[in-house]
Amino acid sequence: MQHSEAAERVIDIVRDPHTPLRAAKDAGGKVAGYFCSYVPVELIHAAGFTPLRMLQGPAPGDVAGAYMQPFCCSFARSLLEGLGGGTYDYLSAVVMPHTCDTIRNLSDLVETAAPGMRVMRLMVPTTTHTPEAVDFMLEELAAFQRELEEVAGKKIADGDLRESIGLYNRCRSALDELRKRRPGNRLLYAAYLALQLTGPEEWLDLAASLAPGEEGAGVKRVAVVGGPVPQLDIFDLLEEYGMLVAWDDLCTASRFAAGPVSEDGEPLRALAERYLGRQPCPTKRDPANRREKKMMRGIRESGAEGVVFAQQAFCEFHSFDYPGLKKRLDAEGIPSVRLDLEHPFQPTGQMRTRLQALSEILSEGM
Amino acid sequence: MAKRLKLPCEKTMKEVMTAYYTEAFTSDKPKAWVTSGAPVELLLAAGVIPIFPENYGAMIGAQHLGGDLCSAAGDMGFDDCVCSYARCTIASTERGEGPLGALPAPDLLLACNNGCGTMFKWYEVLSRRFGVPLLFFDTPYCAGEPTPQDRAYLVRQLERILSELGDILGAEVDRERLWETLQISSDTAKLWTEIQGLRRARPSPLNSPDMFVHMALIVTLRGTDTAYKYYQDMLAQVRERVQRGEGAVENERYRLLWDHIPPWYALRDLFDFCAEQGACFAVDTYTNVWQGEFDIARPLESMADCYQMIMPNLRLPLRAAMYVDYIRDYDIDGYVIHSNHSCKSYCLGEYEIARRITAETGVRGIILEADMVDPKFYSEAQVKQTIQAFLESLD
Repeated sequence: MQHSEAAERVIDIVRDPHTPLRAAKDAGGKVAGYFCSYVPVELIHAAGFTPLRMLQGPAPGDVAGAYMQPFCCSFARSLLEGLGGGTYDYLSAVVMPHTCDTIRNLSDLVETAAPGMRVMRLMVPTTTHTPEAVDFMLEELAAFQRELEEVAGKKIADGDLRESIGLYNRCRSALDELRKRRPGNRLLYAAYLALQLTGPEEWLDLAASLAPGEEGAGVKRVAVVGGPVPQLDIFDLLEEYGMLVAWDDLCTASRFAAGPVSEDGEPLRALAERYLGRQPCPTKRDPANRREKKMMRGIRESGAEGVVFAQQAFCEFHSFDYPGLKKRLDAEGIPSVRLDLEHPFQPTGQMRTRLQALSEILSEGM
Repeated sequence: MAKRLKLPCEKTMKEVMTAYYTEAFTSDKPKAWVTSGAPVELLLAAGVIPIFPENYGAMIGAQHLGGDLCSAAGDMGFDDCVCSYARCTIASTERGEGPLGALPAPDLLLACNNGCGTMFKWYEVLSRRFGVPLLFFDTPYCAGEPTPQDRAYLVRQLERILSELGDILGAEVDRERLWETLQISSDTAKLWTEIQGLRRARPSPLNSPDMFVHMALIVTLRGTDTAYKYYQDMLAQVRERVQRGEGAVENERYRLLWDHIPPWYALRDLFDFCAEQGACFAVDTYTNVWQGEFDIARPLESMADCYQMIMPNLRLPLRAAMYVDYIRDYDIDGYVIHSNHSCKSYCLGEYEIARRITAETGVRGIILEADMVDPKFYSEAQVKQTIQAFLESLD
């Protein structure tokens, strides 16, 4: 496959993941939605489903308004709108893990707003670093596996699970390689998102065809830190201001993809250890302040000169972390700006002003 | 102006709370900041003075200091979507301001996420600010009876917290003392539950604003003889009220349910306004949260169950069923739900709960938008107009 064809297909998947998945379903396939990067996609895949990350539904409207207060994030409101309004009616089930309070409570509302939708809950512990948390996660994964098997109508063979783990590990390695080839903001983040919106087999074929990009002169290298950023327009906007994303701590990118699952030993335990041991998101306990340390290391190693915080408006968990992270950046003399994202995404005047200011600061330092 | 009919024991409460804060500010004993739903019995048994920032947040709100302190938290980078208890108390520590100045600095922190995930985020901020350890009790969201894996996870965490507490204090926590503390806590919760039950009387002997005042001890001092004795007295006094047929609200005309923490800055004004029209809140969901009774024969398992199964940590169908039971048990005419800008955990699902209450009981209600501490989300005129129209619709 040519680079241009693969690139176009990757972007198309991000623009509209539903049409091909509906077609796959009509042809006898099965698709299961999942809400968060703490859900082990390997298990869903091994059960015979194409895992679809729930990333953006339609603009929040009557469905969301009937169930959710305006002070809940538009990310969650949009997904409920999509679930209640039929956007996701081709899913066999939706997996809702324990992450923030909003997604936790939303799991109960989906059953009412989208009657007939099978909701599978995965109680991911908030503590991730203790042996008892890993054991608890292991029990939860075992229960999740049983429920998946019930919905799929088949047992997940150990070999199938190992195969899915290996497949996603290859995808994660391919993403690491792709990042090193610097294909540009849009294509790199489209590739991250596409892996969460289509089957890993198809994705690997596409990833192999994506060619390296060229880093233009005068490009400003930035780190992007935040939650889910499913809109490619945001990465385009950064590029408009001459910014290349050199490193990220986003749950739709590095936090989803970084770090393989061990292919040795018992697979469920390997999944429990990988998912709890990965870079924590703000919804998990972080006693050693790993997020801040990882951010500083990421900035240093990637050569990023500034930081763009990209978080969902009304996200309390990210908002708790922001002042501490910002303070550390200020102390290190690293400029940063914050963008509060709403769905649908509209680049506001305030966002442009902030990015312009950051761009100018970075230009002065060059 | 309707005057709140005070119980004689309320005078004692002021003395008790003054003594409690005086000790917290002056004692050399180790101090822990603790969330209201955390297993405080562990701290009491270890000889640690527990300090409750949520209680202090309520005081900040009630004394109309919330606006300034929340605004100060905004200057520190904490935006409006962060819980206003967290915002105002973090700003209080930064500025040294509050009803009693800044709370005494903690030697350690104890947090539990059974009320919301906010708690551990707030306490992580505190842990980094004060440079003190945070002990954390992670309580899985509960779909019904605790599962064996929930219970095993919770008990192992309690053992870990006890061990870490011993390491921090340099002495093992005395298990016998812990069991005694649990017994007192459990007996105190039982008294509180009995008092709540007496509100079924018509007229109701207690209105929700009474409970918001009297709850201070079940939150801060449960597990102590002081709280136990206080609620013994209170129970006797409420029983007398019921026998006399004395209502908390003169000429009780409407019996209502209040949902959520009140807007503390408007506590008197809002509930007096309702009382003037004969509306008594005969039951509320918030003060009923502290009802954990332990089985001392299986102390840690029992603690695990009680602390996991508090109302905000229950799945929506269970919560909705509790509300429906309250409506029926307390013979309620209407409900008032506070959609609290600070609190997604407790509030997300309120619209659906309201529909289920009405569908199952025929009882209608209203939803008020506000915040517990930050007055900028409160419109007095709009709230009163809504309540007025609602009460008229009940006639």
